[in-house]
Amino acid sequence: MAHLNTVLGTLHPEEMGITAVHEHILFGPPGWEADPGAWFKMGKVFEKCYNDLMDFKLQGGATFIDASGIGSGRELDVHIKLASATGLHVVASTGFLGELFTAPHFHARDADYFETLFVHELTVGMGRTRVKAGVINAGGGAQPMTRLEAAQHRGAARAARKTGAAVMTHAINALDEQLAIFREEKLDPARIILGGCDTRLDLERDKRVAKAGCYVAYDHVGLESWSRMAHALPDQRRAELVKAMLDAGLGDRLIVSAGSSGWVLGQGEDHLSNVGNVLRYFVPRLAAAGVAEADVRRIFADNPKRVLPIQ
Amino acid sequence: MKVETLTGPVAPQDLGIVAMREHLLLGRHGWHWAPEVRFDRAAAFESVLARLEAFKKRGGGTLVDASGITLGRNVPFYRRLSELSGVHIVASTGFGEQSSSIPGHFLGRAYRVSTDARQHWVREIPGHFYSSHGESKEYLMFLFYNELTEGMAAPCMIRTGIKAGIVQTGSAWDGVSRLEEFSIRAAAMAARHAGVSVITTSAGQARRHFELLSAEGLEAQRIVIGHCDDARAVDLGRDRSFAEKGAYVAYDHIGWEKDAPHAMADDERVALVKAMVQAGYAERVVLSSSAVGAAMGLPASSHGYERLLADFVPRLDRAGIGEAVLETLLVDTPRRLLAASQDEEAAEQLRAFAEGFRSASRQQRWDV
Amino acid sequence: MAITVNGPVPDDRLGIVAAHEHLLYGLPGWHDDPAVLFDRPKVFDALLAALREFKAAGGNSLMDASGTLCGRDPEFLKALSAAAGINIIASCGLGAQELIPGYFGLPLAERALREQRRDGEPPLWIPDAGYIGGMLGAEMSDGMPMAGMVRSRACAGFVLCACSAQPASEIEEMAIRGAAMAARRHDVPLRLEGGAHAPRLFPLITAEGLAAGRVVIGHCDDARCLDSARDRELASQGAYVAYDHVGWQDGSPHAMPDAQRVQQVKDMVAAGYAERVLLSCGTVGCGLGVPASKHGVSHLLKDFVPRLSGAGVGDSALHTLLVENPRRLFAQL
Repeated sequence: MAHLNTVLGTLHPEEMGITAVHEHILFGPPGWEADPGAWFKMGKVFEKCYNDLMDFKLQGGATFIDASGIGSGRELDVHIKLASATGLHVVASTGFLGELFTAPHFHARDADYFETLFVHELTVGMGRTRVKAGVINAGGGAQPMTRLEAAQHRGAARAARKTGAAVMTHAINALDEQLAIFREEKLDPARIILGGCDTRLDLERDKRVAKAGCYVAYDHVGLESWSRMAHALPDQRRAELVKAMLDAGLGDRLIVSAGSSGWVLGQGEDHLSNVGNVLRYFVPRLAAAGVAEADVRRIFADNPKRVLPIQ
Repeated sequence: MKVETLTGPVAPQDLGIVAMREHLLLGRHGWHWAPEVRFDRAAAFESVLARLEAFKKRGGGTLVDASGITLGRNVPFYRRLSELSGVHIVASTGFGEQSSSIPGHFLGRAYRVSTDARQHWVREIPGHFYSSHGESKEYLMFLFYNELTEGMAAPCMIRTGIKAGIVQTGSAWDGVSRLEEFSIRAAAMAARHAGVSVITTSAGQARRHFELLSAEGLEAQRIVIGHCDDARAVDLGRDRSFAEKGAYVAYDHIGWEKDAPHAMADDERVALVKAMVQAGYAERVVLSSSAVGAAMGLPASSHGYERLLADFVPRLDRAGIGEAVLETLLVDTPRRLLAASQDEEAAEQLRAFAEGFRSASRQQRWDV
Repeated sequence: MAITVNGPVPDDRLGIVAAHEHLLYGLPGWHDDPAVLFDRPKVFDALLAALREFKAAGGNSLMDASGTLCGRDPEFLKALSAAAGINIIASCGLGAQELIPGYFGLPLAERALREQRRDGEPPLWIPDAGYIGGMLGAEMSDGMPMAGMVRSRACAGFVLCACSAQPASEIEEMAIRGAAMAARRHDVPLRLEGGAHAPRLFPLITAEGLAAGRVVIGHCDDARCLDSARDRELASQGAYVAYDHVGWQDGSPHAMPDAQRVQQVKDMVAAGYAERVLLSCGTVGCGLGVPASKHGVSHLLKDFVPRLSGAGVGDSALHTLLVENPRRLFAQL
């Protein structure tokens, strides 16, 4: 039976509602805990994350996918507390976001190792807990893909086939290599969410992969400012991309999210994007660009409901 | 004069056929701490949805969930099920039997500080764990009243805007404890002020329940004595006497034919219904099946909500109960019971009283 | 004076010192691996037994070389030290490139990417040698960080650094220079593990003002890069040369029979550098996702020392190697 694994237990797809597909509660590369310069007051950060999530909920949000993956800020006790305190359905993920986000212990491993690890996290529990992950990340960005990242992608594809989970990628630069690996591993394109399609623009690419069945995610909504982030883009352009994909009849493959973080470990507050703002500002932009309400519903509720549950 | 449901207020004439006493989820308070109880939310959703859809398919329109505050109620879960199935769901507030549904927080303790500064527990009193100012049925009353007028509590300190539409209350089979007495009295007070009905959970202490509810001024027309088809306490004389006073009796375990001490054959239930109809009390009888959609740490029922309509109604029909009486049993009586009728003046008095009570109790709590 | 996990101990009270061991050791990230089970009380018991055996054999102090990132648990070490009656001197430091987690490397990669694309401002924070030096210094003056963003009161007592390639990567070089700065500022020893690169990195370290007599060139008994000329050269410059993988005789690329180590020691003593040699076993007491070593910390005193005696290394020389040299490493210069 198709279901979502949340940090509080399973969830029926019909309970998902409006879903933020690619977000983070705490996020940052491993190693920050060794540097007291990166430390923070947990109470203060919890409150900030709580406010962000409640804002999302009050804007109509119901489900929140944390894409931090292993060792990159996936603090499960915080997720669990936030889920209970807000009533949102919070999903944590397994997988890695690329070599720099992979702690040394997990280097020098092969695809079989990663497959076993991801399957364990999806079916038994994350780390040593009994809280199951709901989706698999695979990231990177170097061209060509490093050996480690290729092994992680391969392991992710195999784990996805074995468990029925979806794979969410964070490495649009290495798209061709990623898709080649997924094809070799016979992963159904309809189980793949390609993140970061709004960080390196190519509408023809997006159409091509969507026609093949993959989901195209414009998941950096709000990241407009050119200062400090290498892949910023005015939201107006994102709205145009969404409209173009809808006009091409590919609305069933669209995912929109903010890729925001409640707190960036080692950096602090993420002032640039905010999960609630996707519903507050971007949805009206879409409406102004001529996107129908039914299509907004499709992007934020129906598509996530179709792709994310473990099936 | 609307009925508060999980998806908002509904006009009484839109309720259709009503099952007055069912359970979507059911578990004793604390089930979620038991490692052996596996709650697969997704599977439970699927299971309850299937039973609701079957009920609707057979003509069902509305279902009243009898889990009260602590026996497994989950407001967002219920609402989504109602939306998807198209069945109106009325949730209940209130407590039932102490041992399964009233957690220790509500057992107040009075203590006295002795001269050598050691504290002693004097006795357990109902009200609130930290209260030192005495027994308080008002505390429990407001607990229920706020759920009826402001919204039900959801896990982790959230008050939803979704209101309960009826109050459950009751006690153990063989007696009414001090706390249960307070809970029943509080249920009556809350129902009276909010203009809703009270339904009791068991028949073992039926007369005492009725006494307590009436003592707090709840009129008979707002009282449903539940589970009068409990095999251990079948008593037509009792049922007629309640009906005569203007109260209602519920034969609400249709389908529970074996595997429980209270079970009895549905044909016997038909006989009870027939007897009440023949005595002229068709308008005082309520029917339901106390079926369970998904259970946590308790046995589920093998039958679902549609049993009432798919199986029991045909039996009644075969026993000669006509269409008009069936309409009364399944539509008119429930509609009368569920339509709220709030007395504005009483509500205003209560609001004033509430303010005073809240500030007084808050102060006393911190004086401890 | 040596800073142990339970406070300062005068260098002349250190006794016999095992100069390079690992009580707990794992690669950063081991705790996220569901397959790695850490039965804390059981491990404590096992390590306590090993340390008691070391003590019974004459040992008194131990330098734990897990650094900041590789499985160190300050409170665990404190309790173990007190229970065993063995001084434990813990280390801080980042280690070789492959052990440095992304937190330190990511900002450098970001900056490189932006410079390449010529857009955007640099990341908010980029590490540099000074930052790392400050971070390590705080471990020695204020206490070692623990899980949960808390600083233990136990302070580190020496600094580690390592290099795995030529040239050292940007972050490795920052880590080495930062380690040297911290060691100089707090006047503590520094252990460099650099294999064949050690001679090239030694001047980088002393350029930060650290005295040669505080520098230990570790793992000079690495079978892959044995070089007695190197050892003599470094010793002549005043550094310590450590043969600190005694007992690693097979099963690893760096392993070699102890008999060869005996010869290394004899050669250094004969060349007049007895006062520049340190000995240890480099054991892994409890491996967290890595295998524990087959030999324990007592191997040094129960197995290797008799071999040295048997090979003609006299008692006075043994005393120098095991007691005097470590004492001098920590003593006032």
